[in-house]
Amino acid sequence: MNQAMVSTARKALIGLLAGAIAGVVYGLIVPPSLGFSVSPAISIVLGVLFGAIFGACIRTAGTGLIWGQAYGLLWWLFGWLTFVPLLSGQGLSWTTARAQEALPLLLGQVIGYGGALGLSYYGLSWGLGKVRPPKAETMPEQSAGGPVRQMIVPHPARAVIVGGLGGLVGSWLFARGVETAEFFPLVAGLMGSNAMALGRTLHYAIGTAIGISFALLFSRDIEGIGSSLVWGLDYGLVWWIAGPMTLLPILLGLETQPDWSLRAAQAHVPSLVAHMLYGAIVGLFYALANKVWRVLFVDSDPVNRSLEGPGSLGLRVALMGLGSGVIGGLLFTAVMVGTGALSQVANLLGAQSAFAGLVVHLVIAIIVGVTYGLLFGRQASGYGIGLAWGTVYGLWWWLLGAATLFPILLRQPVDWSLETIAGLYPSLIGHLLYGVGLGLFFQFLARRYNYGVDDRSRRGPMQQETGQPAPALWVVTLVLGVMLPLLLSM
Amino acid sequence: MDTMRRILLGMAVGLIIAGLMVSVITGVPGVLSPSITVMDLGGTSGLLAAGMLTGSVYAWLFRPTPGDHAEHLLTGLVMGLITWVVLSVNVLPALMGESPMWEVRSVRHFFPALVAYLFQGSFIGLIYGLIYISVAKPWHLSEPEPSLAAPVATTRVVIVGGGYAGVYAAQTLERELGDVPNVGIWLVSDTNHLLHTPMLSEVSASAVAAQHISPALRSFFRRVQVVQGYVERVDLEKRVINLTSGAHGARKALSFDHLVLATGSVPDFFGNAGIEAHARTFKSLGDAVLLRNQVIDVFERADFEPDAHKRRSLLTFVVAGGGFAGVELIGALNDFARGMLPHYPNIAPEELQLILVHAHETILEELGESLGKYAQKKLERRGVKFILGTRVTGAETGRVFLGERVLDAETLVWTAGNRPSPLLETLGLPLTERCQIETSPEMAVPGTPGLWACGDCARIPDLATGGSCPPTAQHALREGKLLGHNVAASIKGTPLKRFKYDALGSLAALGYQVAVAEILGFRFSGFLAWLMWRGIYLVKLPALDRQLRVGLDWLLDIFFPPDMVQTIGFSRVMTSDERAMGVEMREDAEDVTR
Repeated sequence: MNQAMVSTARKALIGLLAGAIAGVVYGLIVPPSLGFSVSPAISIVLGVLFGAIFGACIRTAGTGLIWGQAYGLLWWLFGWLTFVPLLSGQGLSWTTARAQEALPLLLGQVIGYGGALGLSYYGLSWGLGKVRPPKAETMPEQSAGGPVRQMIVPHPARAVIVGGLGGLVGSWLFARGVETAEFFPLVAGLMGSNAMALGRTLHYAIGTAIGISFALLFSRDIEGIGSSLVWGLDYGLVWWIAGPMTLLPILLGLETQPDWSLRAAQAHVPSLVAHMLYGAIVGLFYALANKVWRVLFVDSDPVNRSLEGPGSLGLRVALMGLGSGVIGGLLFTAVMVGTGALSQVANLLGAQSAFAGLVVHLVIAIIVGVTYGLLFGRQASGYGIGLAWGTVYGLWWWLLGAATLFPILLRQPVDWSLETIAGLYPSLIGHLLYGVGLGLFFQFLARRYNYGVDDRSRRGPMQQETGQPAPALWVVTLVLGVMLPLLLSM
Repeated sequence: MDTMRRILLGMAVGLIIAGLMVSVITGVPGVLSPSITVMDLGGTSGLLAAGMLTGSVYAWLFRPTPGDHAEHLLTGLVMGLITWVVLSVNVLPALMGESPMWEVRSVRHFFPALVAYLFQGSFIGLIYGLIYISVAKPWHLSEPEPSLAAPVATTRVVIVGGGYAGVYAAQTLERELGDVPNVGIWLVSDTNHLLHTPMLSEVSASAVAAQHISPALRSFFRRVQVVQGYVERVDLEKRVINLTSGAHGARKALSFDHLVLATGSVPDFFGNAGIEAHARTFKSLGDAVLLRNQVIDVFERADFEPDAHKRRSLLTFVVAGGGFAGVELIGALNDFARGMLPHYPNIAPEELQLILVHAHETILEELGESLGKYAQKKLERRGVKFILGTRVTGAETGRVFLGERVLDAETLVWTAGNRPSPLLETLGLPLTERCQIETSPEMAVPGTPGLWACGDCARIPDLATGGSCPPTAQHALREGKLLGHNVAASIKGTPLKRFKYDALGSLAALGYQVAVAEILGFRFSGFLAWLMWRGIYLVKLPALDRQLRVGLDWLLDIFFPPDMVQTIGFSRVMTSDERAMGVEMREDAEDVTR
């Protein structure tokens, strides 16, 4: 046996053990009453496959979690929606009805099985000495002229403080979004009370704790502000399933087992949006704070100065983002015109005409494009990567812009109810098209700076993304972001 | 070519996977449940189109690497999702004559297609990755792996000149030879910066800091090696140039396969030794910095000087030459000098004289008579005097000769003539009557393979007019770019391009918020032209950080008094003894900040 086969066999073996653990966790979490049990044998076989295919990608707890989630999602799509009905003789049934029926399993596969599988795989690999995450406060390896990783691994104490602060800021915004008369008393119910003040305190404490856990889990994986935002988006999704969908009703004594039914998920749509926004804010704050720290206290050291300072690079990527925003905005315009949304956008200026709406729309597209350049400028090192980050960024702006800021700017109440979110689906399509145009055109502009024989960034994107968790992040956020509104709407 | 092969392979993989999927779905009974039909999945043609699109776009955007099957699978899935958004939800309905319906109820009808596309996309990613890794090398789909060791340069390109032409030639070469690692590129320059010449007068007028208009050459390049030095000799036969570091005496030689001459021009005193000895030149950053310090210095001395005649001489500034450089300089100096007056209470405003001497009757002849007259009128209103139709015929310390007429002036600035670098005369090549090198429209020097020339030192045929291209910065910049392309093409064996460029126009600043411009045949003057001047030249200033710094300088200039700090002192050399010894002011300039 050659070395590669030995390595794969070892990974498969670790996957076997991790699969067994994940099977137990899944059995504990997923309500048997839903009828979606996974036999220990299947769980172990899936674990072996996970180890063999995904094992090489898992180097930290964070990558374990995200690759596990992606794997769970794959098995929901291709296992439960595809092979299980085929093998059971029912035939392929990729309908929304079938997918809605299997919604509890989606949540279970992504969090209960996939998340547990990835984390336990990492734990076992670490325990066996097969992986060693990068040490804190060390500058990652660079090659001459190659792309420089944007973040260094922060010291754990700083990571905890920054993550906690991010959690605090995120929970403040979360509270402003979901603040209703019954929200804080409901949270206070965790302590057997219904006092507003206690509920508020608990809410912020929980938010801070989740922020700290974000930092501890992902501090070794986050490489840029943009990707941190998407990590946060995903982590918010995890906590939506873990929090209001699972732990909260049980701890409040309202349920004895998690209710992941379609009806329960539909009822928690406002909370889903709030959690995703909260997570993204935590990720954004965390990465921004670390970036500022790095600029002030690491990069500013003449010994560490890059060839091009952050100011020059920032200006350049902002300008490239500006141009890309126009292209993305023009693609989005097709949806705006088709749905008659231009006049609504014109309301932001107090006008009614479609032309005014177009101007406002393009200005917003440019602003968002500039922020894309600043957040993702260093990470989009190839057309494929740029396309994926751009599309995810479009999804994020659908949540932040269309679902949140737009009503605020129009002085209307923020409404994250299922009906409203479902009604915004055309806008989601527009935002995704915007992201496609934004990401691709940004890369088109950026390519002129990727030259030189020693510059690895001009090589194929995957060549420098080996083992990076970005594809798993894209899959989880994009597939769930696009599918959930379809499945949850009636 | 590599890309096209990859796309074709991706398309084939996509088509095969989609074809297999369609075959199974339509050919095997019971694969589809009764609740859905093939049409729900987008139809047979829709699935095939989606497979081809996903495969080709995936192959175009991604280049898989061995062992990363998980990434290939998931990125393929992402491509499947994006294909669904673009194709299934938007393009296919539009192609079928239906208006796309984006409401959630309508999009739900595309849900089966979404799962199908995701399924298809993930398999395309996985299978394409496996095939690509197996056949990438034999089928020449991938670029060769760059070696981490420094490549040996088997072809050597040396560019002489760090002005616009040389720098843009080097930049283009660096970009276009990115995939040719065995070419070495050297840029030889006697300064370590690129001078943005249109803003030179702003430096001498203290409106912007000197280094803000001059990005360092090394900041432009990753691959080009910058050598600061002077060319002593070029041996075209042995294909070697000899360099010296200047006063320090260190020497080195650079061999070349391609030599680009972009040596620019030097001031031409037409053989007048008196002018050459006593006039200040205005070509380099150092010239502008010295001139600024000279202005401050004579103000300090005039403030101290009790003799009215000497004070008048000190406070008289003569600029020779009414072209762009001379007019912009006199306008800027006028603003600077008059702005300093309130800080020198011992100097009366009428003692200050700024005089422009021009051999012709109209200044700024390139912009036409009307704009020239306008510029003259504006500058006269602000206190500048003009002596037109007159040449500066000589100079000595404190005096400038205009034929029979003598001006008592301590400062003479020479902008009245330029000629190509004297280096060209040492090459042994035939030169034009203006001492330029004659080139082909491709900027190659006929009869000397591997020798190229552009910028002020070259006579490049103007294909539009039949004459030659003028020695302007906007031409030099574009000539440099095309020459870089042609040298790269010559190395790669691809066709060369001919230089053809129609100038967009010209602008000249006349001082405070006034300028003249001719753009695309339209003439502008006044505040609008001044805004255009600032906007265009700020955008043209290489390097974003420099643009920001100059922008800030201009902003601060609005709110604060002129910067009158003298950083170079001249007083020591102005003693009569030293003057008698023939010591030149420039050589003995003393940096007082040390």
